[in-house]
Amino acid sequence: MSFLDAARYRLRALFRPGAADREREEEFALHNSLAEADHAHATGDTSDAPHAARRDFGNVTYMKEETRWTGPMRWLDPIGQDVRYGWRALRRSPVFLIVAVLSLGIGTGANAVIFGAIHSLVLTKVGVPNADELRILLNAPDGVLRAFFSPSEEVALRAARGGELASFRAQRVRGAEVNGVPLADPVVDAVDGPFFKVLDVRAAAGRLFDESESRDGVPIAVVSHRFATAHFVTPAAAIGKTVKIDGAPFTIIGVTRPEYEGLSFGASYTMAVPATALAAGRARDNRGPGTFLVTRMRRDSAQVRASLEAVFNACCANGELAGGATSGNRRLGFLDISHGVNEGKKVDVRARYSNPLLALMAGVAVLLLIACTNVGNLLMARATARSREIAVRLSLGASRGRLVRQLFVEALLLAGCGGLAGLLLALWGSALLSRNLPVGMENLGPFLTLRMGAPVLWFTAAVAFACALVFGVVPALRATRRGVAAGLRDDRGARRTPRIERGIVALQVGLALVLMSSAGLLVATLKHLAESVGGSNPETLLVVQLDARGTPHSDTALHLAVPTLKARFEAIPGVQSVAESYVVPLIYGGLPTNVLDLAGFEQLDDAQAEVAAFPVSPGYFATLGVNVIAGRDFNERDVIGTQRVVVISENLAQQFFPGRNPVGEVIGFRGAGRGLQIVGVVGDAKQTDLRSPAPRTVYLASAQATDFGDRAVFAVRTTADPTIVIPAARAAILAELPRIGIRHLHPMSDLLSITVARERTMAVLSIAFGLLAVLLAAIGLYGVMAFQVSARTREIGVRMALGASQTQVIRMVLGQALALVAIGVAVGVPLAFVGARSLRALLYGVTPFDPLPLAIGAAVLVAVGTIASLVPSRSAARVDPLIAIRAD
Amino acid sequence: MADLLPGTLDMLILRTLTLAEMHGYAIAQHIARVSNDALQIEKGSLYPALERLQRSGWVVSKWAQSPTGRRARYYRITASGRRALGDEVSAFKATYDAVARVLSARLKSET
Repeated sequence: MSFLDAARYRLRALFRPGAADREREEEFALHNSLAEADHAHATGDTSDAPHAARRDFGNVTYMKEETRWTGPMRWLDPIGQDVRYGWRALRRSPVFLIVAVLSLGIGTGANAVIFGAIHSLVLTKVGVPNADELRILLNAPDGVLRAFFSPSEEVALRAARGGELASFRAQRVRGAEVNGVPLADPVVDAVDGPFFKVLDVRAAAGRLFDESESRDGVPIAVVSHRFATAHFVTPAAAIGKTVKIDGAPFTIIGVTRPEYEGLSFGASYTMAVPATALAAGRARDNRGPGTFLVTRMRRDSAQVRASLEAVFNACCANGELAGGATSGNRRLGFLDISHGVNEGKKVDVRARYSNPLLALMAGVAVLLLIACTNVGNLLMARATARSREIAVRLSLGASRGRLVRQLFVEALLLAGCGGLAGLLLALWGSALLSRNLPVGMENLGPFLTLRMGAPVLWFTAAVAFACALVFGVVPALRATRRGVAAGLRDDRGARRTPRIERGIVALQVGLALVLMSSAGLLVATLKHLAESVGGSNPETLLVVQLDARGTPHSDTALHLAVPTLKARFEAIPGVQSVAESYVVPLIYGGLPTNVLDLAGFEQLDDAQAEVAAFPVSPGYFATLGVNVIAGRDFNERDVIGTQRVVVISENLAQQFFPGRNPVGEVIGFRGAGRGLQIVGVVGDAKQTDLRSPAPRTVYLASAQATDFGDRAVFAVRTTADPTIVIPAARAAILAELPRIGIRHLHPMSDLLSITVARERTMAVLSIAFGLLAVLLAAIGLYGVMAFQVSARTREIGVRMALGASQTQVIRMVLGQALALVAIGVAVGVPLAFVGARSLRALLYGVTPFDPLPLAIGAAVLVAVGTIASLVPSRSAARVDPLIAIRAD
Repeated sequence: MADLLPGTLDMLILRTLTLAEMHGYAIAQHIARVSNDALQIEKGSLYPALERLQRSGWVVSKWAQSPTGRRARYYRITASGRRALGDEVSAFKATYDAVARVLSARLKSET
């Protein structure tokens, strides 16, 4: 165990250097006094004893040094000294310390927040062993995520997979309680089959239920570690307790290990229960969308895949889908869910935000780089100021390596402080951010909340170290390069702003330009998106959506109340017109589609002929501000019993009736016969997603519709701010349908801003980053110019003595500053194009090579650069030639 | 003390510690006494050597009361230290024999 003894000894020396020193002193003192005693004893003379002993002993200090500086770990000792020395040196200039730590802190903090979000959103996998093997089964006609399997299909597939296939459905449950306390919408996984065996999840306490228990519907539950510790303190204490779902008790038989948080992406599971044990209503739900068949694909995947496909094709490929819709050409597909299953019908958060987050990551990295270069410039200026100190230390025999290390340790200290400050800022900032997300981005909240785990800490440490490398090494090497003689002589004439500092400033300007032009592109994207919605003036449009589901009002009651409600809305002062529809524009999901059937296009397959189709009332187009291009709007005579009429969108007309007037033509939907006469063509309007082109749309007359649905939508055009109308509108609704669900009662502009929330956030953040970058670059430029002016005081004095005017001096300094900016812009333009190309996926309505944002960015940089160098140039102009020339 | 061959001091210390745990001064005294004062270990060599031996894990130390009641650091040889001592002693013997052969050969030629 010699290495253990050795290691223990070294660690002790490392962590308690003071103690080791004291012990050494004590040991030497003992040695001395024993030697003195012996000496006295031998000579019989006590007077000279201490001196004699010390003579024997030799140079105590030298010896202590000798005993310390031996062994292979000796390099660690002086580093401790370097740290102490560096800290003292930094503390002596608090302003520098604060500025550097703060700018580094902001930089690293922003990096930590974005990295944390990327980590939890993109990199984190499901907490089961070999998560990469997990697959859910799809029956995908065209790669669309559809995973509905009927019970019989599930049985067949499970038999084919032989105990390796389970089903689960994650649902938020209202009315669950534990210890008599209601739970806030816990996520309950209703599972069937050998779920835990397939997942290979282990219990932290108790046991997990198996296939037979889930088949028999035993009322038992397995809960998450988080839930168990939150409600029962320890996992073991949860065993045997009861949770209630819909009033029915479930006995907790096990707690999963902490790393397993369920299969749903972005929502930790609370408990898992056998699907068959749930109340009948929920059990029926378990056949609907959101129920997934999960299995593992190991090395035998090709075989497994083939056998499952064979079974599926034999039993089910042409069967009926749950819900009664016919299904053509269903094929079995497999989806990798190593990162979790996206919850139900919700927006795919990962797909939606991973690109923007990566772009933001690049942005904050550039920002940090600028901050680093600034600190590097500051350090270099400091090193110049300390050149005499460094020269003295060199002349006293310090090796260059030692000095470089000393300076690098200072840089590391700075970076370390910056990293710590960054972590604090990140904790605070991410909490602030996730609580104040704009409407429409709330589902990003859980991912933005920073989890201070090993990945984030390692990342931050790595970033801080990289920062120190970036801004610490070059100044340290440079500071120690000058010879002793030159440093001590400190001749002012030799001091010129070194090329490297000017290069750094130019680079900063270039990087700032990249961020500025990216911000410009994102702002342009936001603007184009907001303008791209069909219709006009969203500021004076109120959208109302009523929902009869889950209320005492029947669908019919809602439908019957629509005309009365419409009349009530129209009577509200400030309302211009009211139209009724079926679809809330710009709300994800739920756009009804149908397959167009018309003469000459029978050969198109279903997907190619799929169009949006929904009923609207007369006045809908006028109210929304959609232009009628040809024909007419619906009117009061388009009712049941008359010719069924439709209005089509312009893009539909262009595709199916190229070069002719479609008004009067007859179309239909496949399976329903033709018999719909086109009476009008209207402009295109976006419905669900601003980025996709406006859907080809067939508008049906609402008075001719036979299927009313459980929801009703009104578009209310107001003369002024629609929020004024909202209370009256609410009162009208409640007077008519007291317990109806009001899904939407918003100005259209609010819906619009929800839709572009992501883009707006990106734009705002990128502008903030861009401005910060410009500010940092300006500070850098100011520093270099101020230094240059002060270093060239004598030269400027000579110039003025020879007749240069103040204006000429100002022009000279400004010219040099602007030359730096120009070089920076020249460097920045290609970089900006590279950056813009990688942003391409996020852009809308602008090309990555749009020169306008670049031009604006360059103009801002020139303006800010001029301002930043005004102060140094003015102080150059105020140089008094007499004083300046005499100065040295 | 005359210059020792490199590594000899470590060997002497290790050998001394095989007899008993002792503090630094006692080690020096013991070596001096056994060598009839021929080997006076300077403290400036002794303590760095002890430091080195501890870093190698051949020797461990602990603080304890000395017989006079003062606190003293007592050194003890470890198992690996004993192994190292064995190696060093055989290496030293080999060197010593070689040196002796060279010297005796020269002496013979001189006579």
